[in-house]
Amino acid sequence: MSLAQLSWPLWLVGLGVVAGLLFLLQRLRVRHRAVVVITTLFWQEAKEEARARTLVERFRHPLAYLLALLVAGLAWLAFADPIWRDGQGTRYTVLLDGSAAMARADRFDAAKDAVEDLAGRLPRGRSEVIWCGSAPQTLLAPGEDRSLLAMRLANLQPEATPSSIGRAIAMAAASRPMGADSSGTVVVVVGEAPEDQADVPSDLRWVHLPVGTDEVDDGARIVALGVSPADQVWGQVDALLTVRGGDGQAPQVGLGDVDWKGTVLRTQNAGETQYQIRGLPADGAVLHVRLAGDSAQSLASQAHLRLPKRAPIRVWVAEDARDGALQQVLQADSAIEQVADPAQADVVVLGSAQAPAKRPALRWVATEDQPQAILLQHEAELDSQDVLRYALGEFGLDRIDATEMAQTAGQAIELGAQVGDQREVRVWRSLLASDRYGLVESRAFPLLVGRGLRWLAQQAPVVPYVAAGRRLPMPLASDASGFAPAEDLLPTVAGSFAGPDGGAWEASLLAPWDPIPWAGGVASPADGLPTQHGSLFTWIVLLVLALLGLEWILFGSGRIP
Amino acid sequence: MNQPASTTQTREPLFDGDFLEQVQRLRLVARRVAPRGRFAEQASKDRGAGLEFQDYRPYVPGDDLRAIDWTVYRRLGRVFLRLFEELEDLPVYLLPDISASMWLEDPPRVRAGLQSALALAAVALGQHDAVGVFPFANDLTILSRPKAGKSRIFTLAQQLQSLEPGGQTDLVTSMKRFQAMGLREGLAVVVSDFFDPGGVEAVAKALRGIRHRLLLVQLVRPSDRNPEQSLQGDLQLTDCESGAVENVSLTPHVLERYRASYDRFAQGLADFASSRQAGLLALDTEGPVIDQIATLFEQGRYVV
Repeated sequence: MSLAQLSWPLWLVGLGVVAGLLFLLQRLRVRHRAVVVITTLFWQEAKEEARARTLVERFRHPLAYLLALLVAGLAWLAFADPIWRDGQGTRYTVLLDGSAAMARADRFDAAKDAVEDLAGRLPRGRSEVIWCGSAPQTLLAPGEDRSLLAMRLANLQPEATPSSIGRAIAMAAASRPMGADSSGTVVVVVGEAPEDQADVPSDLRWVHLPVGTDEVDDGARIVALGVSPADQVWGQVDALLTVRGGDGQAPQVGLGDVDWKGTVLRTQNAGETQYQIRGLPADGAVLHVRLAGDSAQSLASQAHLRLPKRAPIRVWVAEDARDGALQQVLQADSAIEQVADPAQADVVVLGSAQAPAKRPALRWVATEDQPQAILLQHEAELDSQDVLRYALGEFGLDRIDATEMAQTAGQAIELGAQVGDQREVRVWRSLLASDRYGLVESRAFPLLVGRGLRWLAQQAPVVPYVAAGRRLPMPLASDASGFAPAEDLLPTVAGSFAGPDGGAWEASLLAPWDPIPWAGGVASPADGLPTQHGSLFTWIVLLVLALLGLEWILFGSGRIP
Repeated sequence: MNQPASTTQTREPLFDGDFLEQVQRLRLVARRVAPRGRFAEQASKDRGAGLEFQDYRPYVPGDDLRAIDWTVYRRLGRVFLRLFEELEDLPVYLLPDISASMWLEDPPRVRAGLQSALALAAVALGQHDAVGVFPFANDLTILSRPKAGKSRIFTLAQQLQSLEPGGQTDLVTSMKRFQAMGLREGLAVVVSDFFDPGGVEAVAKALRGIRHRLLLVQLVRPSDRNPEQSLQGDLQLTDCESGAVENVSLTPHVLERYRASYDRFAQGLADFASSRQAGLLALDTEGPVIDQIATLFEQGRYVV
């Protein structure tokens, strides 16, 4: 048994003080009311009963004193709030999740209530409460009064940051006393469980108290936000916004100082409303989206992300590489800007006579210069097979009738890839002859030129879609514009995180409540924690009342003064 | 704090016309009064010229020839005198307690005590008995020597009404003083609360030496046995006579002990009265005095 409010030495000191006070009270002379009577003859036998309380008389009623001391001692013990099952010396570290994920509905209020309740049950000298907002911060140190916790919790709000529960657990594990066994410290997580259990030391006992696990309709909330390239305009992107719940009110879109006159398209299905915000400039500005309504100030109803930058691909075409069909394609492609100075170009289009270029180049070569009709030269980091596979689909080469072209050419039409210093796309110049081959008239030619120039320019791809709680698309190592799901889930919180392009992304996305499955290590909330049933307060109070009743009976019967 | 009641209440008339009318129906009857008394209505141990035949005795020279029973002389040839009962008075000695305790409370016990004494005096004077009054506190004083005469009731009333509070009760000294007076045997009526500091033993010791017939009028009130009617809590009790102080916390147990002590005292007084063949009347000072006095007189007669 241990005490929740006091240490045993302090309790004993208090008991001594109470015993002393009671002794003095017993010794104090009672202030009598003076009465003159005709005789005190018959009181002389009865007066012995009153002498116990006089200062000059010796202490005559130890039984009454012991009974009073027992009552007062038990009351003092009840104040100390003894706990029967307490884990004998176990230290408790309560972690209050202060991340953005706690901002939904009244989860944070429920979490604060849970922490207060928990702190009231834990031994004061061996428990602490840590606030896990942007960084772990001590809310209540061991030994501090519980009333301070309520004051410090009063003004706390979730922060627009990822959870620091993991860091707090690591700190709690590191601060364990030397030589403590696995049961010496119990970490209680109130809120979101740490997302990476690998960071939790295996010998650390921890308990997860989920808060607000029941799905509640707490109004509209943004659950996904992403961008995609605009359909027709290279320098623009469309933002994709998914809102769950709410009454479908239109989001407020802001781009800082940028004057935006785009349109918002809305579709709705299965409780979700999806918005396509079209015509956003792809210039790296920060897109702010905010839902109107009562919950407009909550983290769940606002999101922001930095839009990609999509600068035009500057192309310089050499004199001997000029071609009418090529020119038409270049002019039609909004992503391409032709420049007159090769030094300013991102990509150059060369004829076969040109020497090896210092920049990525689309080169028309003679048939005898290379056996492959189309040869892709790439960096050594890329795999040639992956590059070929990508080119087949992305460059539209699968749409070319290679058989017919081979019959016309009298030789095989091959596609190849090789490692080189610069990226290059080398194409037989003879394929541009419209009288022999139908390549320039085919749908594949604009794709070959446009996508080829983009591949050569190595433009950063636009992350197709970012949704909290889902796996982040990661670019393929072999395919600059390809993506594959990342192993890690995108944080279900707001804040900054590393994007697939290696840059910093800023978004505030709250996933629909979908508790992250936690394999192993999850303890029942009751495990390892002192419960209310362990408190002896109620029983002690009942015992005190019973003793008071006994004292009253003894007093009434005259057995004690 | 209870203060001694003003003596003004005792200054009020102790009796009125109804009082005298009520006591006229009562009579004190002595089985036989002591000899050498004054002619009155009580049977005496003296042989004399009364109407009630009592005995014969042989004639001796000098006897009154009118007392010779000639019928007996004719039958027996011997001369006998017929002896008749002598009728004399019963001296009644009233000993009212006027100690300080009698004047405390409201109404004071002394009023009921003086009324009871005056009632008995009225009865005695009404049948030509002599009545003397000897108030006592720490000692006995003589207020009125024994005298007869119906008209003396008014004088006695005035004398009783003029009494002042005395000191501490000292029954032993007072009764010794009374006994030392050598008064003719009569009826001694002690009117007191009998709360002698020495307890009932001192009371018995004091009264045991009195060679008179005794009637004890114990002045009581309900709160004597049940003090919780007027006392509660933690008290500093001061004896109004001795000044002794007792600190008492009134608990049920203390009250129980108190009642037990009181009952022992009352029983001791009753036992003494029984052993002494004395009369004992517990007179409630808060009740009607004459009605309670009348309970002594069975069919209007109280035989002593």
